[in-house]
Amino acid sequence: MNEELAAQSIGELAPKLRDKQVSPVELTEAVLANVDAYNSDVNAFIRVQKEQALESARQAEQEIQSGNYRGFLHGIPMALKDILYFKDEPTTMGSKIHEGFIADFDATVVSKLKLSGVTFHGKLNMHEYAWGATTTNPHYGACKNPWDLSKIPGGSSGGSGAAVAANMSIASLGTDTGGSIRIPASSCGIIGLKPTLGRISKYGCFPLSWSLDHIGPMTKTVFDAALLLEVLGGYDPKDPTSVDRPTQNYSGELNEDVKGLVIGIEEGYFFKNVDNRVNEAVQNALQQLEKLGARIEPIRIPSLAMAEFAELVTITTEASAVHHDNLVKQPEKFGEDVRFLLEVGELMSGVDYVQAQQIRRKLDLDFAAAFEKVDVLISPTLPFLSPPIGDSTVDINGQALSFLDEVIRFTGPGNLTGLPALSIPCGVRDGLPVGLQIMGPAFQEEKVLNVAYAIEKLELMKGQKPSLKVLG
Amino acid sequence: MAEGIHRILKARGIQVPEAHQEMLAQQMQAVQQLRDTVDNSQLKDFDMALTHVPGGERL
Repeated sequence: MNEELAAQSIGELAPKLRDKQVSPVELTEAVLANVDAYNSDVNAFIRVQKEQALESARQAEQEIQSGNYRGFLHGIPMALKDILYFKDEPTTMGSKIHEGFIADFDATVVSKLKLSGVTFHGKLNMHEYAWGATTTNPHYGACKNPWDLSKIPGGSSGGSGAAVAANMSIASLGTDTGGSIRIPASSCGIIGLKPTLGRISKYGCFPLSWSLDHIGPMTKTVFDAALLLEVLGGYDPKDPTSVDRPTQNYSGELNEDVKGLVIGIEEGYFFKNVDNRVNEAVQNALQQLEKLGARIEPIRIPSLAMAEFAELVTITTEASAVHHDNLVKQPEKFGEDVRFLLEVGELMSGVDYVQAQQIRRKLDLDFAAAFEKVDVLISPTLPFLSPPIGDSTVDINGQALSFLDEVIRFTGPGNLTGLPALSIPCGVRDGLPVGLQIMGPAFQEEKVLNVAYAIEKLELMKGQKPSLKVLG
Repeated sequence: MAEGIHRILKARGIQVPEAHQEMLAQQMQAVQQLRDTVDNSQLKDFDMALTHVPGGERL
C-alpha cells in the first residue's frame, strides 16, 4: 500500500488528502520508506530531512483536519534540487566550496511552495554548481539512473529526475541553463518543463549563467507540471529577468484535442545525427498525433547552425564570471570537469560573447517567424540513450561522439531564446526511456502542455516504470 | 596553442593543471570550428539587445 501511495501523482493524491482519505503523515512516511529502500543505490539525495518532514506533515494533517485545506500541494512531500535557498538551512549547490553555506532567505519558489503547504523531505543531488549534465558528483557521489543503475540520470538536475522516477519524491523542481531540466527528465522517463524565461522567478537560486538560467517543474504527469507552473509562475520584482505576464489556469484548461494542430519539424537541425532507436520512438509519436488530426509541417530555421556556438560561449563565459574568484583562489576544490569548463570560459573573447548575443537575437526572430507558421515544434530531447556513468563519449549509430558536444544540441536553443520547452517520455528502447521535446511560442506554455497532454494520453510508455523491486 | 592558452590563463591568475593543457588546446580547436559556423553577414543588423534599466533594480 505504501509503495502504491508514493507512486501516485499530485493530481491523484490531492483529492485524497483534501477528503482525508490519506493523511499527509502516512504519505510522507511512504515516500521516506522509498528513500530508505532505494537511495543507497540511486544516490539522489545530498541530505534527507526525515524529522523535519514528519513534523511538517503532522502540521499539514492538523490544518486539513481542522478545515484549513490550502489547495493541491497541501501535504505533498517534495525534495528539491540543492541549488534553491531555504532560509537557515544549508544549500550546497552540489559543491565542496559551498558545503557550509546557509542562506538567510527563501528562494521565491521555495516561499511559494511553503505557502502552498508542501512538506520538504530533503535536498537533491545535482551536477556540481549545475555545470554539467551527468550528475556524476565528485563530492556527494554519482547519482544513478533508476532504469539502469550503470547509466547516468542526466543532469544537472539528475537527483530530481531520479528521485521522481524512483518514487522518492512526488514531484520536484530543477534548473535548466542548457537543458538541465529536460535532459534528466528524458533520461529518467518523467515530465520536465522549462517555462518561458521570466515566467518563474529565479530569486534565491544560485546562478550558473544569468541570461540562460530557468527554474521549472519535474513531475510524473503533465497535469502536475501544469499545476506547479500555476503556483510558481508570476512576476517577482526581486528577479531582474522576471516578466509581468499573467499566468493561467494551466491544469484546469488542459486539452488533449490536437485536431488541426500544426506541428513544425526542423529536420536539418533537430533530427540530424540521432540514434535510430530515439528517432523511431519520436517518429512513432508524431504518426500517432497525425492520426489524431495534427498536421506535420517541415520548416527551416537556418540560424540554428550558429546555436551551438552561441550556447557554448554564453554559458562558459557567464559561468566563469560567477566562479572567477574561486577559480583563482581555490581551484583544487572544484571537481575536475567543472574546473576544466571554467578554464574554457576564461578563454572566450568579448567579441565572441557579443556575437553570441547577436545570434540569440536572430534566433528569437527566426523562431517567432516559425511560430507564425506552426503551433509547436517537436524534436527528440536528446540524440542518444543514457550512456554509462563515467563515459565521456556517446554512441550514436556506431559513432563515438563527445558527450559534451551532443548533450545540449537540441535543448540549448530553448535557453538561448527563452522559449518554453517540455520533455515527455514517448517510449522505452532497450530498457531506457526516450524523451520527446515540445517547444512553443513565448509565454504560451498552455500550447506545449496541451500537446504533452495529448501524448500522455497515447500511453506510449505502456505503463513501463523503472523496476524498483530489484533495487535496495 | 597549449602554450598560448597557458599564458592567457596565468595572466588572469589561474593555475592550470598540466593534464588540462592539451585538453584545453583541443577544446579551443573545437570552439574555433564552431566559430567558423558564425556568418557575420547575417548578424550585422542585430543589436545584441542587452538591456540595463536606468535607476537600477525594479524594486
